[in-house]
Amino acid sequence: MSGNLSILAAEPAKAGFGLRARAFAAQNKLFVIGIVIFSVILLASIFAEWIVPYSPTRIAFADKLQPPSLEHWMGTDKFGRDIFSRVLVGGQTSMMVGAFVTFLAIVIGVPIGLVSGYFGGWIDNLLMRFSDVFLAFPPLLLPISIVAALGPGLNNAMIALAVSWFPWYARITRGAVMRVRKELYVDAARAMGVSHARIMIRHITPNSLTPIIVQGSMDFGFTILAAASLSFIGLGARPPTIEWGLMAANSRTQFLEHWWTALCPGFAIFLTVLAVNLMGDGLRDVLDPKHGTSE
Amino acid sequence: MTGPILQITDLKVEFPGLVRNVRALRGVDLVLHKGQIVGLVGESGSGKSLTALACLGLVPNSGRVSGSIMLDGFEVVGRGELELGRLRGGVAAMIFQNPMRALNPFFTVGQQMVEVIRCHRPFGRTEAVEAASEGLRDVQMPDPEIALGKYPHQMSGGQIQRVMIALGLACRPRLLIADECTTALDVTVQAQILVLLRELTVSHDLSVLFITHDLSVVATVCDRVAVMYAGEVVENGSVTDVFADPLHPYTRKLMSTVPTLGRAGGELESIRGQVPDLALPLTGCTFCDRCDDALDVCAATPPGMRRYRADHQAACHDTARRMDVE
Amino acid sequence: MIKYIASRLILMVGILFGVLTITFFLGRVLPASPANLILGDRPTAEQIVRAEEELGLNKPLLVQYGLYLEQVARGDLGTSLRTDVPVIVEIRNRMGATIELTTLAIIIVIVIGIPLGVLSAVRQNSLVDNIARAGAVGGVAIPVFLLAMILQIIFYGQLNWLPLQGRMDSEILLDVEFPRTTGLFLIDTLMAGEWRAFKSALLHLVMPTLTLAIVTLASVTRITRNMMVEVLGEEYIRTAFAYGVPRRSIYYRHALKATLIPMMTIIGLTYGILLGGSVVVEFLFDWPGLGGFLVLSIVQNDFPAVLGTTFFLAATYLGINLIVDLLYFVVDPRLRAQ
Repeated sequence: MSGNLSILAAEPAKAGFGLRARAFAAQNKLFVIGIVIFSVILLASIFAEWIVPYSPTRIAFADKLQPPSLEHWMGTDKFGRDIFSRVLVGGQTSMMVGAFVTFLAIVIGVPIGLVSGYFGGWIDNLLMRFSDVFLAFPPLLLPISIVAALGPGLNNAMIALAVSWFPWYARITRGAVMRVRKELYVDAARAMGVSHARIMIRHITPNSLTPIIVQGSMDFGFTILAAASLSFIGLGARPPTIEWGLMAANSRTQFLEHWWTALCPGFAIFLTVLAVNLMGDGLRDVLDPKHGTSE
Repeated sequence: MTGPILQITDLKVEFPGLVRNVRALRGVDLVLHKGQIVGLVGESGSGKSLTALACLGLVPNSGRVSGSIMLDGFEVVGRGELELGRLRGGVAAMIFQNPMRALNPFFTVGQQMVEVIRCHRPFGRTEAVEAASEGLRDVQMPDPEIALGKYPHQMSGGQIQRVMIALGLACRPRLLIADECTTALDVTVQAQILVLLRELTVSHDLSVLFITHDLSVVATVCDRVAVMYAGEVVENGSVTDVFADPLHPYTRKLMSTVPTLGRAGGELESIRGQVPDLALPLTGCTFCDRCDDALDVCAATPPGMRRYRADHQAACHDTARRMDVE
Repeated sequence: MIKYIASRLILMVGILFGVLTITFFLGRVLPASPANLILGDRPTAEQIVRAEEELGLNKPLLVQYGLYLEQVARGDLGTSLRTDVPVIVEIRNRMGATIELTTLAIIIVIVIGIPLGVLSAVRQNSLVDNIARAGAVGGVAIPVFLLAMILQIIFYGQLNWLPLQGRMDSEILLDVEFPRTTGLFLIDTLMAGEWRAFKSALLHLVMPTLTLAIVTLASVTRITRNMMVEVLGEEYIRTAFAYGVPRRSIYYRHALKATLIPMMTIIGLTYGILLGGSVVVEFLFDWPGLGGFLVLSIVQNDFPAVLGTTFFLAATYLGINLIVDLLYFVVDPRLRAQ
């Protein structure tokens, strides 16, 4: 609106780091909450093996189907296993799934987008039509059919999800590339004989990073949800893998009388995805201020 | 004889924030009499657009407005939306900078004009369409009836700007506020619009507040000019007086930075330094840091507005010192 | 404009073709031995022979592909290995269930979600806005099966108000005769005047529809709000304010028209989400629709059924998107000018 100097240029000492950090936190409360929750979950997942109160595979029929109590914070399942411990370990699975799928989708999608956007023309057309085919499926349908073909299992599910998601990254990258390609310094680099590949990697990729990071952080959550859903219908993780969706699926015969067997792993998913989404939203607000509220 | 059409007294607009409290307007005083075309000049960030918005109560919700704006005798500051709605378009109308985005692309020009007309005058549909046609004719739009049926994307920037002017006039306002309305147009079109505006002030008994950063436009079209810097008016007066003898160092600098054809050689002047951060409470004169003629007193005390001629005022310690001596 | 429609149609056919190719290759190329996969764990000799014949697995791959394409062009999506009924017939029989479910869900979503999103944008940072946004953020994070199970626990387990699964009480289904004219039980039972059946159908619909609706509502509300906020920031909205156009008019005429196009895209996308989400919901509630059929077929390794149903669902989704694209012409004058 008015005043066109940033606070740093005018008065660097005026607003110290502490004040700025607090202002940031106050304006982006949700972002901070998301980061905090996610960090807790992440740490809990990483150190799950050390902090579990019971072994997640310890079977004890005598204790089966106990409601949540002080000994078993989330109760026990039909085999007497401590659900809280299993949830903690399941966190490892979900984190890994989220990271791996997003990573793989990026690794597949970004190069395609780079090539497509940079060269344009028939290459662009071909690659984008190819991606369009993947986008033509309603969500979840394609992963389901890929897993159907490959056979159930967490690895196949992850591959299926990554393959279904790469088109988004291809599109984002392509868009960013096309914007940057018009910049003069790209022409200048070409004129100096820098190879196509070099230009793409050194000049264009850094500029496309922001939307990719934003999309990736949002996808992380959806990946976890999708993987859990796949496991729930029997197409994802299989025993003895410990996964939240699978835990919910296994509880189907008892959950009506023993709500904790289904709701606890379900809640874990909810909390994790919520935290990730809040983080993703916050990240997007920070990196891409156009998404703010209007006046 | 009624009072001035626009009287702004000590207008302050603040945007409070957690870390920064931006004081965008710091006590603006401005008077516009009937039939005058007054130019409001300044760099971007000086607050000229904000002043215009404030006149119609269009300051964004996050801003806090204090002071007084009398629009044809009505106080604008503190009014509710309903009352403001009647003022807007009816008493004063605003024309914005970017014509291509100013109209809704989903409705025809005619539909939008008719809508606005019917908000302010008790016309039925046919009458309103007639009025719209007539309005377009007044702004010299070729084939007004056809134009009414067009969508904004089917028109050029110059044509849309004419439509905007027609829209502005359609409700017979007393004051037209033109905010950089020729900046987005090319030079020939710009000239046509300026000529049109001049004619309309006579034919429609209009007063105009013309906001721009372009001094040549001011020289062409305005009777009086007010110069803004960092949220305040630093100099105002008749165009002849101000251009002949600019009393404020900032005004002098502005004039010298305009390159003139025919004056060969010499460096292109620029004003050193940058516009101050409006979040800081500035002591003394806001222009002090960039002023070549700064005195010791300038950093400590803000200069008040002083009248030096019948229609020429400025706020500058150095000027006061010089003029008093002479 | 004709050109546009034609080009979109060609594009759609091309994509369908791609979809078909992918689903085909998924089945035939990827598993080491398609026959084994399809036949499951303990195939009988009969099944092996029939499968090989059925699938033409003894012929070269490209020939198989060509044959399949030809088959589909004729409208034949193969025959279910499990039930021995043509896949197309199975689809037709189950379509109604899915349509009823998704249509009801989408109506709820549109009727609640869009006005809520608009209200949220118009009164930013008010209580309504904050609740709506909180709900949206939460709703998007909740797994579909969790929500379904919670509903089941509350409304069936604790309160016993609603039935657990299925589309209608089995006794009523067996006793009462009503012609399946539309395939939508609510309508068919009403038309036949069968009150008990209608009530049963309605009760059975509540939980699955609610589940689908709530999850989708979250996305739609959020997207609508964001869209509306963006539109409200547009310059022409400011012009309308500057000319004294009343608030209501600005929101419901100017802003709403601008949001129509993205809105239609959202509705198209929403249908897609619903089609995808319905798989899980149908599975959970034992709902005899296409999603449930898909999962069942996968579990039973009924490959033609999987292939056919996937293709059908994808084609439907594409079709909806095509219709949305064409509707743009009606709404956006900028497109009409060629």
